Amino acid sequence: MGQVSLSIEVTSSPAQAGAEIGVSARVTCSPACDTTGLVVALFEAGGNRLGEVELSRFDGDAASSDDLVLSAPLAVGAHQWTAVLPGFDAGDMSFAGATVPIDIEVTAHAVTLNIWGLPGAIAAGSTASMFVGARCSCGCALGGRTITIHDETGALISEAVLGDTVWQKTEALYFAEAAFSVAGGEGMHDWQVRFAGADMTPEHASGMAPVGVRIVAPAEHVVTVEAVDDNEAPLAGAIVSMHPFRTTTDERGVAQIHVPKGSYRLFVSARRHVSSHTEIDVSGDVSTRARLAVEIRPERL
Amino acid sequence: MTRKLGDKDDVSTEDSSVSRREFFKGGIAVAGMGAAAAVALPGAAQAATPDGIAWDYEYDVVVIGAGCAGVAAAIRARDLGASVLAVDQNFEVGGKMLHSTGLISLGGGDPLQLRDIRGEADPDGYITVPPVEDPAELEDDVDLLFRDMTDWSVLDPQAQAPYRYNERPLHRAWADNCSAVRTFLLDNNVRMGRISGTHGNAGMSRARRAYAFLMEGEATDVVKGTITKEDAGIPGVSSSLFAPTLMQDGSGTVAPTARTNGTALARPLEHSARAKGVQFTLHRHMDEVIREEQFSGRVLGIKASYSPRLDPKTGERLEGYWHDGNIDEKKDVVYIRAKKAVVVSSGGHAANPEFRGMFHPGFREPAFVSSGFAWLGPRGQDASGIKAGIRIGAGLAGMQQNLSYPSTFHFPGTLATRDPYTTMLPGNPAFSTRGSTGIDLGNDSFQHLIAVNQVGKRFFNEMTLLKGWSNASFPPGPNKGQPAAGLDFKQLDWRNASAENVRNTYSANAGVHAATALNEGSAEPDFLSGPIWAIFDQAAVDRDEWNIEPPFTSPDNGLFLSADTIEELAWKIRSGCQWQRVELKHLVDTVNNWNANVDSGLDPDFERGPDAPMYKIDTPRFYAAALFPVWHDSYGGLHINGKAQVVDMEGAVIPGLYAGGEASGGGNQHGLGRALVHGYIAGTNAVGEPAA
Repeated sequence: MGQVSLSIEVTSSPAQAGAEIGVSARVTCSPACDTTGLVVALFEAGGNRLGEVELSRFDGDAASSDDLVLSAPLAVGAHQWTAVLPGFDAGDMSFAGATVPIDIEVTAHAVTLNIWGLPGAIAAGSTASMFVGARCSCGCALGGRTITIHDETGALISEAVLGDTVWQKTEALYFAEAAFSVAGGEGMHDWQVRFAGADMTPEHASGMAPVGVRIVAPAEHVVTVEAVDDNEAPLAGAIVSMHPFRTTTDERGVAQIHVPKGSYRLFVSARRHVSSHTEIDVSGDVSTRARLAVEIRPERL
Repeated sequence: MTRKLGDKDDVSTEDSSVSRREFFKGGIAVAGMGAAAAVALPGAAQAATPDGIAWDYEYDVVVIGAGCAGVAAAIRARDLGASVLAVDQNFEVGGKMLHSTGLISLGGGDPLQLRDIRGEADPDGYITVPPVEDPAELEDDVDLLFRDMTDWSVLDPQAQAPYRYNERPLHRAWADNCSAVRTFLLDNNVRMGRISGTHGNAGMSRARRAYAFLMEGEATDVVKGTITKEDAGIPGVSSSLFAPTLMQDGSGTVAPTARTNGTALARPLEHSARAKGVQFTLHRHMDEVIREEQFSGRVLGIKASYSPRLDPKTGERLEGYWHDGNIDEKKDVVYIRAKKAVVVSSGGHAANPEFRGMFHPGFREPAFVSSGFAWLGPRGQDASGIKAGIRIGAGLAGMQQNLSYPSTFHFPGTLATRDPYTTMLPGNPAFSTRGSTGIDLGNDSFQHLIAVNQVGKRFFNEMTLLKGWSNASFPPGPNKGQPAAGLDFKQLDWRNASAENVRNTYSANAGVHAATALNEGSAEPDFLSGPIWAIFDQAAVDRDEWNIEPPFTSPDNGLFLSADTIEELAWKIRSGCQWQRVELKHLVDTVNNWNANVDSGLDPDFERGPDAPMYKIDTPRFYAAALFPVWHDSYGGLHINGKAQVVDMEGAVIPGLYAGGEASGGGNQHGLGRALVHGYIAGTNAVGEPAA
């Protein structure tokens, strides 16, 4: 007595709501028989016909089809489709046909959040801003959606609406600049940026990204840094860092950083030059000079 | 000019005043010179000989590999009257020599040392700069050179002994022949600038290194010593067919319009070889050295297969600069008889993952290639000469010396290319194999990125990944592993090897070992460590002004990927790079952790921060660029004696088999000086073999 087996392969399971998935069929017989040319029909739970795949290749053991590209259901959760293999005769064997279930697990779209452009230190009592970008795992347009910023207690600090254009050089990163003010509480604060998408169709999972916000005492002193090269020429655009403060030099090679008093490591770095660093104690206004040597590249031997 | 057995062409030599390129383009036949011209077997008339092999070609000397040692051997043997065929798997003559920096360390009182002592210029008057080194630092002799090259006491900054294990007979002969080789080069139109210092591991006590150069001129003419700016290469724009890598400024040791690199050595030698009647068969890979019996008798010849270098995109065969004197044989397999000797100068094992894995299992990773991979092609530096020698009983030497040169395996620091150790730009046919020039970064630029392994974890302080270049050479000093500078260095002084000196000078860097170490993605059977990725953001690109557009990167070689988010970037690396075998499951956490470290101003994981400022990786778009180490040179290979004869495992010479350059071992000198002298010695002695 012979046997016929129908198996259905789904390229992505679980599948994201509404996303493209590939469905293919494979039929094996025992004893082996070539069933190419047969058509397997695919149906939704309600009986709507989704499409069909034709068995087009036989490898001596099984007949299989190419992928049929379908859209996953929009509703998040478990779904069941069916595949119907028609009856056929092969040699002494007569097969009456069969229907097999196809389990489809559908998930919400994921949203990833990026935060950038946040100053390394924000003086208590001042205002600042950060850029927030949101990217759907399926590349959905997220313009018009709201992102919110919360402090460590969950209190709302700020909110902003994502624009309809994507951030430069990205494919689907929708962004907003969110302004906020800080009241006090010097030190590092663990805030959160949130995105809610449960009301969207298809459904989007909530997104969350932590963001560290450093609140510092108001600056008391000015550190003036002059960056020059080996020939005493000014280095414009050099980066001057006194963690957590950072700025760049102007056309004269001069930068000013406003900092609270304290001890710092002063870095000055410029493209193709060797960074300089020095320890510096700030108890009043300070002026210093950084001479950066051109970086000597190892010779290719 | 195809020269099979039976071909009786006479010899003509060229007027050296004629441009070589014009000469060959003119189609003038260049044939064997003197009484020992090749005898060629017409293909249709092949017949089994008494040794049972149907030879397709027959020459006095067959040279495997037309690189530094091979071309020197070929010219030398030809000068002494032999018919010579050089076989090379590449589309050009020159091998790594043509791709190199053109630094040649010889010494022992060679003509250049003497010239600079006298303060003279070159015969052409091209050299306008005064001598670089003091006369006392140029006073050299053969015995001093020999002692330098076998000095047991010298430890480099890695506490490795670069000279201790050098083969003594080989280096006696090497020292004895250095001066003759300098003359040989000059006689073959190679021009060299002032002696300045010494190339890696060519001795601590005297200055012995000179750059080969050509002068910028209106025409490229190696006889006159000139090259056009276009042929020398336009920085940041193009290389040429003539010079595959960008020729460098030679103003420091020659003159303001001098250009230096291996082109200035390889092209004159190639030109001279062709003019003298050396023949070449390119696109052909040596598969086997044939001996009378596997472990006894003399070497008879070689078996070689057609192995064309093809453009990976067009499928067309790559073609070289000069063609006359080439035997363009396309038969799948040919047998080439060597009446006197075979010279194995096929290069080292740097591109053979299995072979180099014997010395460093981390480099069994096939993603990593040898320096000059694009230039030499996928079959270059594949250890074929060494393996062929082993199969007929050859011994090996200096295998451990692979571990003792600082740049043997290292990070060159160029991102987004599998071939980071080259200055090749578009314009040379081999660039199609390279695909992208890469993003060439200095050490300081590494402050703008993090480096992760195949599972997305950092593994070392990125600011130190490129460090570790010092070697034990002249002038000595703490950065060369020695407390003294200049002539204060004392040969054979036990203090050189004292623990105190090592403590004071040790500066090895283990970044490349951390990069190639076992990680969570290393799986059986080979436990490969996988690719290394530089991860950075758009802010880094803007801040440090990196050019990430083609040809610096390639959109389709899987070595440069970009994404809107780090999550997406990890997925793209996994799906887009053929060498990435596992998920980068830690990449998102690694970047988040790094950004938190930047917030705190500390890197507790790898103590990065004291060296340079730290920057968050947070500004879209996000990038991943391959950060691949290379295996640069090979130091272990066939055991050769002072005559460059290959010695078997029993200490006996294998009759008719010679070797040199990176196919040979027991010489830890870096660069061209080693290979040139080996080739010269091999060519000299090969001709003296009795004809079979």
